[in-house]
Amino acid sequence: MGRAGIPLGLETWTYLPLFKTYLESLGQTVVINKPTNKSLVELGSEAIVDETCLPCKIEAGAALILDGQVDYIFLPRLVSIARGLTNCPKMISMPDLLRARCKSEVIDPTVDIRRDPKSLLRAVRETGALFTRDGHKVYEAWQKAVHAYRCYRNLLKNHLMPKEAIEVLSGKKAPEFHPDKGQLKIALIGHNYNLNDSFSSFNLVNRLREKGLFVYTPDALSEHIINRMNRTMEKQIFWIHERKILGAAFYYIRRKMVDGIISVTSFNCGTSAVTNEFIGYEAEKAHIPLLSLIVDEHTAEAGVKTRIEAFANLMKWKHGGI
Amino acid sequence: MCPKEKITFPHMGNLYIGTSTLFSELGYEVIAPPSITQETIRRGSLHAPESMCVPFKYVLGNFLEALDKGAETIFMAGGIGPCRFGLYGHTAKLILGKLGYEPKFVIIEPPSGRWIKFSLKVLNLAHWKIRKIKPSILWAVSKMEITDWIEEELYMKRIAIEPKKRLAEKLYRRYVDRIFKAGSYEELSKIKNDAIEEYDSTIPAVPNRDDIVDIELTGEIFILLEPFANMEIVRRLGELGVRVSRTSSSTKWIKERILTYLSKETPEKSHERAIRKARPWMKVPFGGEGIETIGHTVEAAEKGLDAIIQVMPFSCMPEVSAKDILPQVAKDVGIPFYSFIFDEHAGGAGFQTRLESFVERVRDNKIRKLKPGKKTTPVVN
Repeated sequence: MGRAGIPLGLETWTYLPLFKTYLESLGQTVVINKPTNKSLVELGSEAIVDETCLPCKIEAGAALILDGQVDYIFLPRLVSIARGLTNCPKMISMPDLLRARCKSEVIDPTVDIRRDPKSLLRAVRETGALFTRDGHKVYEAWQKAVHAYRCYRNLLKNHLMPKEAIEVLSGKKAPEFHPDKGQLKIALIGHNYNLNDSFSSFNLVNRLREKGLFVYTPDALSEHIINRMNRTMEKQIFWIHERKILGAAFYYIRRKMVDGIISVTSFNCGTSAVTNEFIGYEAEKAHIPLLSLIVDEHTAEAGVKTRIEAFANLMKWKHGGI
Repeated sequence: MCPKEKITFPHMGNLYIGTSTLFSELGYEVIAPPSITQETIRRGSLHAPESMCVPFKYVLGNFLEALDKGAETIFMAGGIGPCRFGLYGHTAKLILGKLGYEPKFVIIEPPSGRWIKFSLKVLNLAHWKIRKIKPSILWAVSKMEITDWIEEELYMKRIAIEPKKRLAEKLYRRYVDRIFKAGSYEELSKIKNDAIEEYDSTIPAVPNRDDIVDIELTGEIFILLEPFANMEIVRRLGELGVRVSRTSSSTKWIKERILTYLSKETPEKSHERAIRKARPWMKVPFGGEGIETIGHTVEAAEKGLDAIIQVMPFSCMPEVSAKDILPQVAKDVGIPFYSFIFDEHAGGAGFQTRLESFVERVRDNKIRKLKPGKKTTPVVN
């Protein structure tokens, strides 16, 4: 029985039910840190290099908060999760950067499908072997984990935010779906670790929903739509998250599904600098208004609030609402 | 006879010597972009995405200037990630399209399994002159090899001794011109002999004095090789009495990553060695030259150099991660290090001050290590 710490940041937003169910089925206790707040960000930005982006600082802060409370920190290193795809360099190097700082052990099973197609299987086996000798138990745990992940994805596809979906999965409350009542629609384009983190996105999703807008996120699209949209690009984008964002933006724009787009980027994010250029071009062609928000560790809420309000009004006005 | 296709390519240090030679051998009319100036970076950063890394802005500036000179085709290398370099060509294509330019882009990417597509692309670029490809590449590489050899072994090592008259630099420029115009292998070897003789007679090799320190430059390859982008860090260090070396050069890069496909021998390549050396701190490569920077720091300490300087463009993803772990690595292996981040700004004074203070500290350290208890004095030139 060990206590595993999963820092809430970066890839955790995509795979939390998978990691959690897998570790719990193997008899571990999973500790997840509380949602990001100001002191966590301060801790993280002091620990890690200044030039990196906000999500990395949050990840470092989360790991350092968990450091004393747990036996080990579980932080899989997803170098590549499909052929031709790779992760951002900062995320690939993150387990090593945190290992140099944390007192507890960092367990980082590496998945690199591009170099070795069997690496996922090996990562699952090796992680399981740390906790049990029973191969069958590992297999069952993995089956359960994949099932939990599929349920999670299905909830996300029904426009639930990860936080809500996790609560539903753990049985705390019944799912509350957000029906399409013909209201104005907005696409919130950005990394899921920015959009879902209440600190870095200033709770953008809830704010927009309170204004009566229907919010689309990249998480709500299935894998094959993303792939289909990406195939229209001359050069395939090779970053996992950027591919998802770009595919989603293209889909919402080309289908004319939305009345406006808000793109949320963290300052100094290298990958977004490239894809935002492509998304901006596409939105310009389709005459869809685009608001680009860049977030960092500052906490001035008023500026973001004003801009969102102005943008929402612009959308309504364009639609003849005001 | 149809007119020759006008081809251009981005600048990176002395790379133009190789690329120009290669394409004129293959029957193109080469329109090299004018060498990088303040105007290049101004035009580049005007149209590039603002948070893009600085090499892209230089590349875009090069393309704009070359297209104004009449180039029709753009040659560019590509990549498969995770570094942003892999998408440079396609982003540039989009931006140039918005500005009304419609050049033909030839972007050569590593094959990563798709050998047929790759070979077709290369053959098309070479106008199907199959027999000419290998000799032209070898000829271009041997030209660059000599240029890099003169730069690294003669210019960078000897600039420390007579910095005021900039003799070493003038000689170096003259030899680069001669190599560029050279037409045969015999001429090249003659140039090499001439260079050794002339350097030996005017600027003798720097003796191993206590006050001469050895500093190695490492980091992102574009900033490392392009003197305009790194604010002539080699010259500035040389004037401070430093024997400079650097961890990568374009010749090394091409030889180790491209020419290995043409030859059968596979000795351990320098980047593989660096990855091995970096393993205690970083388990997997994470794109760009990030892990090499860590490995080269370890190697520099093993070679007994006095300090290492990491140069990188602002917001470079791999180098930022490397910078994060470098203080730990440098402490563990015992070598002073400094990181310089470059962007499109060109304020030389602040840079000079920081270089001077760093070099003084390194020199102090060295003298104190050699002669414990001796009072150190500010030195030289």
